[in-house]
Amino acid sequence: MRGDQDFDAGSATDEQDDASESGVAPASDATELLGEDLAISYPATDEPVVECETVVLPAGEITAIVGPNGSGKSTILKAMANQLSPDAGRVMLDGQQVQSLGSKRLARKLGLLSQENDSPGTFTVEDLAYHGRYPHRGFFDSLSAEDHEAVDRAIALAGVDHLRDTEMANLSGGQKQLAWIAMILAQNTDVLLLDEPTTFLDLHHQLRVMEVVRTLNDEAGVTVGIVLHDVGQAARFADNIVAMCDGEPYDWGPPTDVVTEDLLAEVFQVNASVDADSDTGPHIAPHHAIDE
Amino acid sequence: MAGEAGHAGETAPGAEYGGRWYDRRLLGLCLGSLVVVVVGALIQVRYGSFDMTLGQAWSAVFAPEVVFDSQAWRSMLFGPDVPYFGAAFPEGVGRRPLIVWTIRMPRVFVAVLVGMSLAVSGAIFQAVTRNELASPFVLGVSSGAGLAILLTLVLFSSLSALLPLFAAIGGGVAFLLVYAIAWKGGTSPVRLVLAGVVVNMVFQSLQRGLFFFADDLGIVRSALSWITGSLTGVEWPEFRILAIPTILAMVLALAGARQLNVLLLGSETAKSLGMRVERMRFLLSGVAILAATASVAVAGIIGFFGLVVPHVVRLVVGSDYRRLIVGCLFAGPALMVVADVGARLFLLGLGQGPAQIPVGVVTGVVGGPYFLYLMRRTQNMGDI
Repeated sequence: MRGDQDFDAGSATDEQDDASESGVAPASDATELLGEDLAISYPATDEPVVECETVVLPAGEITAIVGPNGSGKSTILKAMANQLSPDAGRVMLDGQQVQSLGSKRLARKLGLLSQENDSPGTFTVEDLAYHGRYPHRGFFDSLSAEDHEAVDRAIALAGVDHLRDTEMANLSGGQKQLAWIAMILAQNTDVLLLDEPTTFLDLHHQLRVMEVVRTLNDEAGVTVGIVLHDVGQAARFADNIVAMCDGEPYDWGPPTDVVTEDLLAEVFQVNASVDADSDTGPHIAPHHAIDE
Repeated sequence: MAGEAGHAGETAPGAEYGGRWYDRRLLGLCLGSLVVVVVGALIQVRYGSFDMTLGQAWSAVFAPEVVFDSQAWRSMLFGPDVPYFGAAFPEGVGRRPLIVWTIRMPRVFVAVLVGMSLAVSGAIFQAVTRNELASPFVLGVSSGAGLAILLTLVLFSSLSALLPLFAAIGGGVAFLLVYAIAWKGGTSPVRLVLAGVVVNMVFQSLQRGLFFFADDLGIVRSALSWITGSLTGVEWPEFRILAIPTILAMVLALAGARQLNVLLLGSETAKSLGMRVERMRFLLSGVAILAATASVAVAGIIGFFGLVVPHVVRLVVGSDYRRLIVGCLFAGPALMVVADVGARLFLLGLGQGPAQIPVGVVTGVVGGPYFLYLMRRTQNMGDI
C-alpha cells in the first residue's frame, strides 16, 4: 500500500515543514519545473500517451502548452503536477523530485487548477478561497492571520471582491472560474499550473483570467504553466510556448519563434498567415483547415 | 441570501471562515431539534402500558432521587454488574421514576445516539462518494450486518448473545469487501457505489435463502425485527454498547468536517490541494462505518434514515460540512426520537394494545415519500 508509507513519511515532513516555512511569502527567487525523459500513460492505455525528453517551465516565466485535441497537453501538465505518475522519467521542482515531496508540501509549492471543477452550489466565493489554505494547515489548526491575509489578497487579485459572499450557484461560468482562481491563488505557491482555464469562457472573462495570471507572474514572480486551446492567446500572453503534437513536444521557445505558418500547418493542420510583428505577439489569421 | 451577505463583515478575529461556520439557521435548527427531543421524550415516557399524566411524567423524568444521584447514574451508564438495574436505585425511588428510568428513558437515549450516528454516517458517505443517494447502507453495511444476524440466529443460535458484535463485524467486513472490489489502483465514487450495489444484492439473496433454514417462527420474527430495525426493548446495556463508539465517531466526524468539504470539491482538486485522497476517503469511511455499525449492533438496520436526514439538514444549512455535521448531530436525534414515538405508540393509539411496530418501518414509510417530496421540490437535489 503506497498510501500508508506516504502517510508516515509525509506527516513527519509536513510538520517539520510547517515550522520552518510558515510565514514565508512566495520565494522571490522563482522556481523552475522540469520534466525529464517522461513517458506517461493512463491506466486504460497500454502505450504511453506522452513521451518527451525534456519539458521546462523556466523560473518566473509563463509557459503556454498548446496543441491540437489529443496531443497530450493536459496529460503532460497533470504529470508535472504529480496527478499522474509517469511510467518513466521524473519531474523536478527546484531540484527535488515531485513524487518524493509529501503531498501537502508539494501543494504548498505547486498549485494546479484542473480543467473541470465542481463545487457545492452553496459554497460562497470566500468559502472556496479558504480551501486554498488547506495545504498550509494541519489537521486541527484553526485559521491564522496569515490565512486571512492570503485569502484577502487572492480574492482581490482575482477581482472577485464584490462576489465574496455570493454562492457559487449564483455565478456565471466566467465568475466561477475567477473564484476557482482565487482559491488556487490563496494556495500561495511558487508554481501555478492551469489546465485550459479560458476554455468555455466569454472573451471578457478569458482576458480577465489571462490578466490575473500575467499580474501574478509580474508581481510575485510565480512560474506559470498554462494549457491553452487558443494559440493566438498563447502567443499574446506567454513568454514561452511548448507546442505538442501526437504526444511529443514539436517545438519550444518564445512565441515569435514557435508560432509560425509552418507550425500551424503541420501541428494544427490549419492554413493560416502569421503577422509576427504585431505588438501583442504573433497575430494569427486562420484561413482554412488542411485536409488530412 | 441577501440577508446573510452582511454577515461576513462582522468577522471575529481568528474565527473560521470569517466567523460563518455557524449561522442563525443552524442555531435555529439545533434549538428546534432540542425542543423536539425533549417533547418527544416526554410523550414517550408518558404513554405506555403504565400510563401517567404529563405532569407525572415530567416529575418522574426530573425526579431528584434519580437525576441527582451519582450512584444511579453510575449504574445506568457503567454498571453492567447490577443484575436487575432497578435494584441499584436507592430506597425511596418512586414507582414512576423507576419505570421511567429503567425502561423508557434508556430507549430515548438510545434513539438519540442511533439518530445522530445514522445521520452523520449518511452525511459522511454522501461526501466521500460525492453521491446524494449514498447512505450508511449503500456500501454494504446493511446487507453484511443482516447476513451476519441471520447466520447467527439461524445457524449458530447458541451464540445469539453476541449478536450485536456479529452484526457490527458483518457490516464492517462487507464494507471492506466493497472497498476491495472497487479498488483498481484507487477507488472512485462511482465504483464504490456500484460495488456496494453488487455486494448488497448477493448478500440479500443469501439472507433470503437463510430464512428457509429457520426452525421456528420466533427466530424468523426476531431476525425480521433486526433486519427492519427496531428499538423495542432496548435498555441501558444497549446504551452502553452504543455510547463510546458513537461519541468517538461524532468527535472524529466534527474534526473531519473540513476534510469532507475539500472532498466535495472533487478528488482532483482535493489532490492538488495536498490531500492524500484515497487515505482520507478510507479513514472517513471508517468513521462512518464505526457510527453505522454501532447503531446496527443495538437497533438493527433502520433504513432510509441515514439517506434522508442529511438532505433535510442540507436544505436548511447548506452543504458546508462544518454546519451539516453539527446539524445532523441535532436533527438526527430529534427525528429518530419522533420516529420511535410513532413506532412505539402508533398501535397503542389505535387501541390495538401494547404491540409495537419496528421503528425501521416508520422511517421507511415516512422517509421514502418525504425523500420523493424533497426530490420534486428542489431543483438541484444532486448538488451536495
